[in-house]
Amino acid sequence: MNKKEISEEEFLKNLKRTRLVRKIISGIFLLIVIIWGVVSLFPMYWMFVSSFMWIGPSFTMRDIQWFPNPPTLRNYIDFFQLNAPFWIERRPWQRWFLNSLLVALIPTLSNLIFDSMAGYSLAKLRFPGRNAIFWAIIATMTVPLFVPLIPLYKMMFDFHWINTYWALLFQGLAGVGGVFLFKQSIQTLPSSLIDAARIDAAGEFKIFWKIVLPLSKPILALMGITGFVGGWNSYFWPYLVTNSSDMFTIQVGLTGMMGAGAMGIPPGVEAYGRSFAGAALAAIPVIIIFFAFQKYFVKGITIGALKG
Amino acid sequence: MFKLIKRNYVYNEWFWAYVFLAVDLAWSTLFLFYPMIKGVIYSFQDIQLQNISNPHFIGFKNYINVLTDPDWWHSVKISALYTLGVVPMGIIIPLTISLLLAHFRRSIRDFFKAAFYLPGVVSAVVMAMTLKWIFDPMAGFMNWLFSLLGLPTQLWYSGTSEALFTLILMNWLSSHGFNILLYSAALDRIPKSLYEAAEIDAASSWRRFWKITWPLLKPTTLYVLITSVIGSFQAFGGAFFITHGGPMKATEFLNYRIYVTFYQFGQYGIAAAMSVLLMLMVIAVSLLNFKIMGSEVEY
Repeated sequence: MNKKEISEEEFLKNLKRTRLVRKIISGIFLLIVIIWGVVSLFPMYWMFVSSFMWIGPSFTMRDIQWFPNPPTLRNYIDFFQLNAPFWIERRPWQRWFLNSLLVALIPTLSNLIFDSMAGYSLAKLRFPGRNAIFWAIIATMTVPLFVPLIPLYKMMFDFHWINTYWALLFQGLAGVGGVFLFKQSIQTLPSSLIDAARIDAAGEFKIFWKIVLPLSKPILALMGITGFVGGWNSYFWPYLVTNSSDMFTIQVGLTGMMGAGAMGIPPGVEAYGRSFAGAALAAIPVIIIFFAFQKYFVKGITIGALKG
Repeated sequence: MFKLIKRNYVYNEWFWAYVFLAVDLAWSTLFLFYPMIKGVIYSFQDIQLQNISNPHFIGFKNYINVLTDPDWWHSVKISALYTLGVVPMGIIIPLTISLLLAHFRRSIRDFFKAAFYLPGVVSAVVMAMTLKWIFDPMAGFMNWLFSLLGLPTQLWYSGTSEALFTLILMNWLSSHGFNILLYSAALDRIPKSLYEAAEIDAASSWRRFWKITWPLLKPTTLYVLITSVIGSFQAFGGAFFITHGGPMKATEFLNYRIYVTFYQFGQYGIAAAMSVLLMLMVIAVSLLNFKIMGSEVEY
């Protein structure tokens, strides 16, 4: 051991130096974190800023400013087509937002009901085939999207559901997405409560409704919020099954406005302005929801990922 | 007597269990399990949009078609390169940031966690649109920044040799919020007493990381590794929104190739064979990950 005796004075000096070094280090840490925060928030800043920036057909790098000076509402007017000539076909943006709201709300609500019921059944009831059903649900989570998607798409054709709310909403009214989380969460509820209710001869529906659901409020809130955001943000299924613009959701509308997809024609720079106005309007609801229910997003991660 | 009641009760429990599962099972069977099986069946059939009413079995012909197509292997290469580019940073960046964050007060930590997670709640459409605009070769922010710094402007996603790297770069910049939260939560769960013990033993912070933090974060790292390998091997959005698989097929990911085969060319059988092959690859890669990382992890 090479420890040597040091005087008290030297010890205090060392202590002071260590404290200074620690302060500098944590200053550097903070700086790195701030820089990375700026980098990751920059795209959102730029999206909002660009929605107030006039982007004409001849817009080039030289016209870029950190903040638009002066800011203009022209992109929003263009997006809503407020002063488009009367012979131009209107962009049905009201329908886009309405459809997005429906896609975000209706399947989410019905999934809350049916997934929690299924989760309760798998967590607390004993019946033959329980493990098989549970593992079938887990297994589907690893199957790539396109395996069921191609037949499902053809099925929508055969049912004549393309471009209808049946395809947009009905096929998603129940599913396996939330069952796993509900099962994991309901499993942690004490079985003695349920058994006690059974001894009191309460019906299974009553037990579910009066005991299980009230105790599952946090997971219901979590699934409701993430389901809403997920539905609002979904683009690929609505893109596949709609083909007239009054059935689009806002995400599909934006996809079309920027010419994405296999058959889209990429528009010129001037399309960015009005697209960003729409993008900002599409982003604001989920940003508000995020700030209002922040803790649920964080909680969702700890429930979802690491209970395996 | 008791036995009778008991049997009746068990019967009841079965009955109610299936009642509670009924709607979910019906929907999943019709709209998920059945299409999945059908998808595998399609992959052995000659079925295409032009001839949709008359599908017939053709054995492994679709698979042979796909596996002898150099374009398919090109897409495998592109997806593999993208995965190799994305996954290491997808672990390094979130891990570094959450280790740095662990040094600060709870309030500062929560503020930054929210800031990092926020871009993740915005839709993929909006994010892709914004990134496309930022990397626009003619009027984009990045080229503006480059010219301010005196660097040569780049072609970004519109250059054949740059496009794939640009999509990787976009991923580095935009998709770590979830994993930062994951790592932070895992760090919070490491008992402080372990570090105190290490402090008494005068272990350096480097040693502390490799001997305490890293091993205890293994389950999280395994989870992040597997989800990000699976996710990036099935990358789609970048090609769909930004590059259309181009220029010159430079970003034609597996999933984008499947999408084009299915939706643009209407070759359902071949697209189904491709997606079954993709599924097999995803399963193989995840098992491999488990083998490498999982052997050392205790759950």
